Amino acid sequence: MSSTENNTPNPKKVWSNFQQALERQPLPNAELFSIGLAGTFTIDPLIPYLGANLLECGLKPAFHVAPYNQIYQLCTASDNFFGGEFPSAIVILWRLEDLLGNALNQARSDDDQALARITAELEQFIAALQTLRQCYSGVLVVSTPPYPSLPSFDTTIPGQSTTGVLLHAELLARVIRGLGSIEGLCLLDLNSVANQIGLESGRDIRKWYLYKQPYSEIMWHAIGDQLSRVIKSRNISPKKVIVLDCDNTLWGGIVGEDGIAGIDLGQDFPGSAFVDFQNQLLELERQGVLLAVASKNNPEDVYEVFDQHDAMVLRRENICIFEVHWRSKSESIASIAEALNLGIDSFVFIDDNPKELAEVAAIHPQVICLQAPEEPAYLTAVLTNNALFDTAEITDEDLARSKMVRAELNRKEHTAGVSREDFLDSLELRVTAFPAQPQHYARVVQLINKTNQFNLTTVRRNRDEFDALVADPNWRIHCIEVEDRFGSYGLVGVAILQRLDEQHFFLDTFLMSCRVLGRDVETAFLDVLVDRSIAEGASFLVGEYRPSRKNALVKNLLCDHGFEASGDRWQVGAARVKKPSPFITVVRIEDD
Amino acid sequence: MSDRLINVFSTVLGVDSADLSDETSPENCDGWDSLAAMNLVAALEESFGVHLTTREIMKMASIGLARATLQSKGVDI
Repeated sequence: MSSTENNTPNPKKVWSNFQQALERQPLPNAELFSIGLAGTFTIDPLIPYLGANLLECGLKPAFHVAPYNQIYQLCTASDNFFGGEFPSAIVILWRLEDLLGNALNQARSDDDQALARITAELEQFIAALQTLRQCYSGVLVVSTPPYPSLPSFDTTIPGQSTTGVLLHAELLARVIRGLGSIEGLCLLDLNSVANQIGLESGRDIRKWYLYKQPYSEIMWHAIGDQLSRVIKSRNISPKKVIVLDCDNTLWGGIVGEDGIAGIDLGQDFPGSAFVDFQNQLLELERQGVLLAVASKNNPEDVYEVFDQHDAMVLRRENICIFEVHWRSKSESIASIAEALNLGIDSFVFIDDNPKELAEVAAIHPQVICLQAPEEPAYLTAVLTNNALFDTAEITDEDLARSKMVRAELNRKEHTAGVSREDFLDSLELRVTAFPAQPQHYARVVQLINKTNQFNLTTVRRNRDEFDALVADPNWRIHCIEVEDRFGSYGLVGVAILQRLDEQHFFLDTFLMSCRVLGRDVETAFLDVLVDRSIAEGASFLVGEYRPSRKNALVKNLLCDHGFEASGDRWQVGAARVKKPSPFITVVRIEDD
Repeated sequence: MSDRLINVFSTVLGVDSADLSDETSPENCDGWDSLAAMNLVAALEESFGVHLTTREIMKMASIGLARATLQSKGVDI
């Protein structure tokens, strides 16, 4: 759990563990996730490291390795590789020294012609990747180039900065900009991985000479970790909430005994370690992860620290819910989940006390429990070395989430003791429906992949699959934004319609963020969708409920909104669809 | 015949240890290709705590030769 543990990978063990794991036929119901690997060097040692990581997070990988050093061929005739079928992901690892060869040595000695040749070659390489991108719509991962492993680059004169360092920095910047211009390409920052491992321990020059394989097992292990995070962020929902203990987690010591002046928090160690940890949490909150506190303390003691301790980085407004009392942590977590209306499997719990962690793990096995280590120096490692919150893209909604959730909790206080109609009326709800525009796509794809409860069909699509729908004239993507007098909820609903024939549109996807449930927003949205279908000359909207483990909430949605059974599906026309509540203002923005 | 060395080869080559002996070599064992050779280096170094030179790696053209090489480095097998 802490970074004190010696984490040296045992290649034979990793390799045989992965083989044995595959033989046990894990994840029997999971579809195979095919991954094409290509490199300017022998790339096979990556397989067990990447494979073990992917299995752990629920993806069952099937690997296809492209012939050695044929990146250009792969880019221009990609259908010939990987057994004639496109894999779900293609990973390309490459090195400057393999691609540029001797020209790199010459450029180092300030040969202008050689530099021009290198630049042209790199542009061509990026153009080739662009070509691949255009015909391949899956997850495409390309590495950044580490410092070259060439004798001329390793020869340094003490006291002088080498031209090799300058040249590498310049080429690296060019490559990152070039790769960044390719849409939807995921960067694997191999350069940073190599730096983190250390160039020397990352290399195995013997294996390079013998097998055209440049890296040590430690390096492959690190590449596997990083790469699985990249692939996972494209395919698995990230965690959404961190529930934090206070004493010896957010600060050192026990506030109830040591008092506000006696706890460790501030510029000097060990207090500085807790400040750093809080800064990490603040950054995660900025990215859209919600923070909550579950502490066995007197509430006034905890609030006093949050409100009055000079060195506190996290303030009360950064914490969406405080559960400070003497009841169990599992109860606290359950009530936080209920208040936020989020699945408990999206929770992470951090506490220094193994008993508390065990209690939560026993009651809520879905919660990821992390221990704040006894050694404060390792506290920040708890969050740095895991991929729990990796997300493909951070959207505007992520950045504003914490604020919106706090507004929501105010709304809840507001509902106490009034009738449902009064409540809806008092909210001054406003639903704006519009066809999705490019600036909305990132958020729409995010909702498609993480909405579990209010999701009629739970069809998941990655960005590339989504882009294909946008380009297809038979598909429509509609969204809603919702606001009320407490503030905006942002883009919270998505519907994807497919034209089946002249008379029918099919509701392929209908989902809403749980933030806006219980306000009849779905009724307004469905009404708009039926109108839109009619406006395009159809008569019926056809729907289907596909049960998942989590979407029982919408089991009766179609039936409740006037849809009538028609074979396996349900359909509704303008006459029968349920009309929205008069308390909601519906604004419709048409295609321009 | 089953010993620590044979077990390492068995795991990496994916061959039952009963079918391996000191005579086993790339010529008479299908699983022992260049990729397996690469994995064997990693596995032998890890299992026996040694560092092999390229010359030693190139000489290990059978399990018996690998045994001799490791013994010459003080490994008791």
